[in-house]
Amino acid sequence: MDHVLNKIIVLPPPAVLAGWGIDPNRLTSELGRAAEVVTVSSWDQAANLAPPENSGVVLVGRAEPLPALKALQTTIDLASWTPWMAGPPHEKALALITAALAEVSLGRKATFRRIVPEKKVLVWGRGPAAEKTTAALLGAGLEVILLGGAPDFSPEPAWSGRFTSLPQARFQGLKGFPGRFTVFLSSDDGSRELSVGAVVLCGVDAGSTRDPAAGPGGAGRPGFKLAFTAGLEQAATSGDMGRIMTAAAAAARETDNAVFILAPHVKVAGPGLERLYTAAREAGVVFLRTPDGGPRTATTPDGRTEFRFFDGAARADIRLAPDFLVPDEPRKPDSTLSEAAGLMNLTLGEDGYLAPDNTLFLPAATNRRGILALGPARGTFSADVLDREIGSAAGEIGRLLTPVEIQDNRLVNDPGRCAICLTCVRTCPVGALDYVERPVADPLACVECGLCAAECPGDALQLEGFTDPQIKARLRILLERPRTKDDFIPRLVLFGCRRSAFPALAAAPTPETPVDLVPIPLPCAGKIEQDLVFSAFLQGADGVMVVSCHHDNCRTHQGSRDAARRGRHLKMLLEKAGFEPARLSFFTLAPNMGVEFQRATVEFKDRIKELGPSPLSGGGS
Amino acid sequence: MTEINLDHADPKFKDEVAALRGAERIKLCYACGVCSARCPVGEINSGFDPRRIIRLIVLGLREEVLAGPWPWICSTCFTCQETCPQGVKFTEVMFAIKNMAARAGHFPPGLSAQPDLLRAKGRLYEISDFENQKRAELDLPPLEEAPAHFEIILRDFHLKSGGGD
Repeated sequence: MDHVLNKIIVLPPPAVLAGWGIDPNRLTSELGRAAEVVTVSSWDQAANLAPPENSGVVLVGRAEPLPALKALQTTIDLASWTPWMAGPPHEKALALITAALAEVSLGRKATFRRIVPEKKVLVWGRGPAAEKTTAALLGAGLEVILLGGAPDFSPEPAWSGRFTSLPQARFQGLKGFPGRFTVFLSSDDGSRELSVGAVVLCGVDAGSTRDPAAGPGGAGRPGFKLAFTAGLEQAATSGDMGRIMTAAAAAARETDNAVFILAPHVKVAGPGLERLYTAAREAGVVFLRTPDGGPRTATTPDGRTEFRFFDGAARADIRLAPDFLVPDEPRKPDSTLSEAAGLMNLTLGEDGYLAPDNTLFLPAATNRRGILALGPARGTFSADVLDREIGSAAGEIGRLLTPVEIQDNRLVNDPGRCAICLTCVRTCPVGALDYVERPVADPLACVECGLCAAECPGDALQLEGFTDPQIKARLRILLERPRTKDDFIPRLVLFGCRRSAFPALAAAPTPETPVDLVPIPLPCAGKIEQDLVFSAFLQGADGVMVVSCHHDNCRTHQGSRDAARRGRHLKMLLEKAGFEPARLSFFTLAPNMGVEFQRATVEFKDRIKELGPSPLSGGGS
Repeated sequence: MTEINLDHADPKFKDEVAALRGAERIKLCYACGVCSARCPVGEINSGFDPRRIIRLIVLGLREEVLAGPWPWICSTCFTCQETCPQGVKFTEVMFAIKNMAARAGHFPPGLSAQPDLLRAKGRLYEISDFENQKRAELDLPPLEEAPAHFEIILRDFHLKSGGGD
């Protein structure tokens, strides 16, 4: 086994340790038996340590690893964690360091691989978005294959050597990893395979809507009502809203018409739109908000369509029967998007575009690295937003298609346990796993969430830093700590997402009543397994908390939901086993929600205090 | 009034109001409601709703706004005006509406008593022998009615009342 052989503990200066209530000399002599102890005066000094190969380093007093330090690392955020643990400061620190040391001892030596991506991009789409993207990528020196584009499109002559157009070919599938995808296409003269580094989905742009008619002048007829709709059920895009407001404002200025715009929302996210909105209002355009699901409609005796809806500001129902109505065209995702999503395992947003409702998915990104979506494929129909998306995509592709030396054994599959069921391949939310003799995670695509390891029925997949033996070693050492004899202070295991729970804990105000947490960071809350929760209870935890990101903030868009689902299942199992399900708590929060973390944890602790020590804890001693 | 039929509204009304000094920005209101939220009169009388008044102006409900009681119970505290994010200056709008309403013959009955008193007596408070006697006791000169001063000021002021112009 190529486990780590050489262990190093890096401590901050003695004065800092003393400030945390720790005796530096005593700690050094206690730890010196198990590992080499190094005291540094700054983290820069620590980054410049050049530990021998096959070393594991424990950084005491840091929340994040040091990127410049080339070694396996684990960190202990002592200052943030110890206020949430019960017991004397020295004992707590020693326990945390011992647990971290056990974790690092079970770590695996890193192996590296050089990856040279293909400097070729497949652009799939037709219209201005696809054409501008093609031009941008060709200008960046890449080779571009345009699938499904307009037959008469050709880029600048200087770039034509790097451009291939396949207007009639059809997309059949994709395999592989970012930087080296294999794309399968078919056409009337047979099928072909292409090797590309990245794929950009641009959708099909049916051409911009004709500018809306301003309607008849209605001259001589006072009170002639002209109305525009900007989406009755689903609000018009900002680009379309801009065109509608321009036409409405012009009509209001140049005619005697009473001009209205009916919309559920007025989207002004785009250059100049806020000003245009103000100008339209000043010109006399009246904006009316239509309710969810659209207004009620009826027909007047003289044949006009009448809209009826409640207006909150007027506190009354409005009846508007325009003399001339200009309805807008709803935009819908084109059929290539759901086809692409199905063939490439891409997450679609609620509205059917390739932009999941997740704050972490930056412009042009999809859930899979190396596969991007912009323009109509994302629901973008305005030129300035499109330009920014193309810039963002070109930047990301430039970064991706650069040769790199990268560790390739962060996620390891044990062939002795693997049944080749391919559950992991189906589970991976970012498409980083594929089957090449056995499941393999691609280092360029993998985000180290551990969802595959959690789902693997055979426990064949292990993620470095969060393997089953590593997590269980931490749990065991921290749950073995002596308990306070006199008063019952509930011991709670915190399985927390490292992106939300632990930053929130670090930001949280110190609890006013004693709490005894066992902090166990997880790469994603989706890594939580029944095994870990049962293990915690069996070793005497009075309560278990699983804290994750909010569902739409989850980096994998799936892990937080998986954690919640497992939580519900676990509560059901605990109840059937005759164990109080209230001893298990699941909640979500954002990394800056320190106050909420404190409140939820203290409330949970108080509830556990009422329930009393766990029946499995040996009565609290 | 639970229903507003825009077939019977006057779209020119908002332009007339916007043409009056101080009320220029009325069309910019986007009904955020901060004015109504902070209005002290609205707190004790929920019928007084600045946001609603603006909305009725913009929708063109001329009679509803000018003939109603609402413009006259504004306390002119300026809280709405201070808080409006769009700079609508609602207190000025209320002044403008009060003027429009008065010109159209809508105003509370007690209001016309005041200019009538100014014209007749030159004061809002009637001076009698009792007041002058008290003043004499304090060695203060007597006060007289001086309607002439106000004739000039009130010359251009018209408030149609039962008592004539």
